[in-house]
Amino acid sequence: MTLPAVAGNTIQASDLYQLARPSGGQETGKWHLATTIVANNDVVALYMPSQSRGQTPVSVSIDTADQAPVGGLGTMQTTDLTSSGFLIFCINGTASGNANAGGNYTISF
Amino acid sequence: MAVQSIDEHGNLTWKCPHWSEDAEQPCGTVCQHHISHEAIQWHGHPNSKPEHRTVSLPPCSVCGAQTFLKVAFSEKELKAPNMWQNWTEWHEGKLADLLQQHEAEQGEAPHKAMLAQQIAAYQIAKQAGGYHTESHAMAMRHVEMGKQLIASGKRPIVSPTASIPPIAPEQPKTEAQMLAEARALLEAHGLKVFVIPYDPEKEGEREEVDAKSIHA
Repeated sequence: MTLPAVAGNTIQASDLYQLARPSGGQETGKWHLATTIVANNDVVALYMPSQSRGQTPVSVSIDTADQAPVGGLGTMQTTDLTSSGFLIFCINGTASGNANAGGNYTISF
Repeated sequence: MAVQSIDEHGNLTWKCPHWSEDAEQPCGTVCQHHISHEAIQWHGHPNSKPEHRTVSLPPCSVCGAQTFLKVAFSEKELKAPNMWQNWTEWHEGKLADLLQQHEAEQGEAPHKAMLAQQIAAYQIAKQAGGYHTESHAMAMRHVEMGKQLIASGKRPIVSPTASIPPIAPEQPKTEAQMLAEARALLEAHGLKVFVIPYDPEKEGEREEVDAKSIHA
């Protein structure tokens, strides 16, 4: 279906891929974390909801192409990967008022 | 994407699945590592459930992205539509086409044998009611990798507070408890403690206490 959608257009199966990724499909997007780290070794985290529902992901990859971790943030990690999304977090932050990091993510199904 | 193969010795072949911004296709860089690589580690938020932890791969040497693998899957997750494909009328039609082609094949034996193999695979799937997809195979490789990591000694780090039960709120001490604690403290310093019950009717009165009688 071409965009913008108008009455009479046919919805193709591929139009629904965002909501129901098939085997081998991938979802891409942006993430960005900006926060204050109150004390050393605080954990800062950001939950990223997935657009897809009901499909089981097998991996997620992230980069920090938009903003390399600054302001006390260490290496960004991901965990809790489910059909609803995943968690990006940093566990070794040092106290700072301007912690900032961002980039791209790719969820593989 | 991600883990293409893992052998029984822990040698891993994986393909970077990451899409960089404005990229027209995923990175796709093929990498080979052993599970003993320092960057292959367990990751998890403190106190998160063990089954929610991921395993990291080394950062991609081309795009710099780091991939984290899901290595534990529930039964429900393994039956998701991208993991299991149900047998449908479409598959029935494809099987019928293959059977027709096999029957009509007059040519080379290898081609007929190839058709026979495809028909056998379809019939197995039909009996099972469906078939596992490539995503399921990928998930199984990730599970195998998780097992090999644990067998090699790399285990998920459990938060030191994860197994400590919540501290119950402190209950206020009774008068008897406070008295017992005070007595114990004073006696520990070599003092004798005599408890004289409080009589509110005698508030303000001075009562002489015979020390000898007390000691007796």
